[in-house]
Amino acid sequence: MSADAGTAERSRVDVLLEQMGADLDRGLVPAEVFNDPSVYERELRQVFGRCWVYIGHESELPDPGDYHVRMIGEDPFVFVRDEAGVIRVLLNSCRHRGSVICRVDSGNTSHFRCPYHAWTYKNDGSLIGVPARQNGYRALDMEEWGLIPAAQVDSFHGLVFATLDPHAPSLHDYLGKFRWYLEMQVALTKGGMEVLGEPHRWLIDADWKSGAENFTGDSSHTQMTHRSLLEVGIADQAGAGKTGKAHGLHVNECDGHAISMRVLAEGEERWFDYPKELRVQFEQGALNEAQLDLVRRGVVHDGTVFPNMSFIHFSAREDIELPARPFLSIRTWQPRGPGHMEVWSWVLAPREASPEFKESVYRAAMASFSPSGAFEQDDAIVWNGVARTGGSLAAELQGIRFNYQMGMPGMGDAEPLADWPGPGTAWPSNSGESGLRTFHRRWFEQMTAPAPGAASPVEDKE
Amino acid sequence: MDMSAIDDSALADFYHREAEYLDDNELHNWLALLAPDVQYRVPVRAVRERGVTATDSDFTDRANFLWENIGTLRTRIRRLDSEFAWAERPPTRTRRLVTNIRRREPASGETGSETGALTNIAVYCYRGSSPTPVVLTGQRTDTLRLVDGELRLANRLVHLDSTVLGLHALSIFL
Repeated sequence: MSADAGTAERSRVDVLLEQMGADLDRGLVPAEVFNDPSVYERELRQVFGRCWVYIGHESELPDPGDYHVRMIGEDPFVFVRDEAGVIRVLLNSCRHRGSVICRVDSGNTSHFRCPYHAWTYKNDGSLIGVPARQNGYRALDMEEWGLIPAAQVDSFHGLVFATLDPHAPSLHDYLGKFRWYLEMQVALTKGGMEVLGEPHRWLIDADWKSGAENFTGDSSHTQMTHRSLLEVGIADQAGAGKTGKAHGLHVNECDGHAISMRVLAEGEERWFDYPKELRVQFEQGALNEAQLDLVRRGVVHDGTVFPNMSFIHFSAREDIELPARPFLSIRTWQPRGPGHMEVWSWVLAPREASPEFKESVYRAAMASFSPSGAFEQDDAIVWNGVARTGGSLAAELQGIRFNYQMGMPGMGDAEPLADWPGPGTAWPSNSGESGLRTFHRRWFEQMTAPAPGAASPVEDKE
Repeated sequence: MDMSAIDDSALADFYHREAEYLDDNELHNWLALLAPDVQYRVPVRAVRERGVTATDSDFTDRANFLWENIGTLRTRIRRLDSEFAWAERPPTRTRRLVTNIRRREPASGETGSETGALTNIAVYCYRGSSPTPVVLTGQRTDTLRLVDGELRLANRLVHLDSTVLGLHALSIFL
């Protein structure tokens, strides 16, 4: 590529972002952000190179030496529990000449040995062996040449995150006030949640942002995209029916993250259809009364931790002759090139649940949110279309903007709640796209943030 | 009539008929080929370290793309009957090649009424106007049972060769 072409490409993304800054206030987002090489290149650096991203759950590494290969942006990292029990996130690359040291998805090992020249590392990343050291590497400082760890690694109730930016705020501050909502998903019981089995992984010809924005609270797509489930009775009206003030709650402007909740009326109980023996434990867990109330009335909670980690706490029928079963699904929308993503999806259940109950959780989740899931099958189809339009010449030449105005002032019939007990801005209706606007505002601010290290507090405002 | 009356040709006929029903989207006819107590599973493959023990496998019984019985398969097919099941509107065009049919002793030991069978499958999937198919390949480990003189699928385990599904939705059966 010539220098001129490089300059032209950089200016293209800058022009697009400049336009987007003005459009966002009107609830509009340029179509091209969903499929454009220059946008993609920028977001790998600005978003995935600098934000905290979800790596995995502590329960996936029960024993020392257990490891899985996980992604930050498009870069592979080894998610491993070392011999001392410390969880590490290490670049899957030999320090000698860059060959991949871990060529499988999962395993258990005390050491990683590079197949190229046999540089050997302990599972905490420290270098302990190089070939012909006495003849060729007598002065090599072994301490200096360990595997490269992510700049920061931390966890929240078993959820392990990492960032490549040493200047990023702490995970505590990054999750911010949204921790209040995450606790309702992963801290229901004293033991917390446990991942069941290996993740589902599949490719979709859609941008990672389509999944991420949808889970912030795209409540109005369910009655069309997922209409077949309502027809057959896999899900009910409270869980996936029409939007409005009956069941819907949206919370946005929560430190860049957002959640949608469908809950029953005050005084009614649903508990995501968890059975009584577990409900009792929820009441003895870490949740305060306001959080517990949202779980007690909870039909579905779904949200996104910026940038690409989403969750859904829900229940569904895998067999319409049988009752609905609860489940928690956590997923990451991994970027795999402009207009392409790989979805990774995990099923979780309370650690205290019986093996039989965990099996029912797994089956309910697989039957609804997985590549074969009754919900998720149809999401992939509609998201493909977004990327296709985003990558079209028409999107550029005709300046196509997508509409995120649902529920905005002058559009919606709901006002933010003044007496909401939790953080963020809460709306007593899910006939809106406030969470999606929060997502795109946060994305825009990250894309236009000053260089790493410069002080740049990101304010989440709509 | 017992299993000794089912020769290799009759076994192949069963698999060809099954593939025809699935390729032609005659899912209710396919359901009729299943035993009422059918167990149908497509586990997730994750590439693991090998060589620690001879039984190391990429598969566990904890993670599955499909983990079905007759009730859940009926529910899936009833949903696919809906005109709003977008993943199959329009339907995926599939062509199933079923080969390398091998008879095995049935796991139950009931050789009179059941037989085991291994088959290789290649399923070519075309969606939209793409000229390039997504191809799923794998090995199926089946138990077939004679019910009133007809072969019925009583158990199926599909070991896919891929770890990451290239298909954006697994809305077909294997």
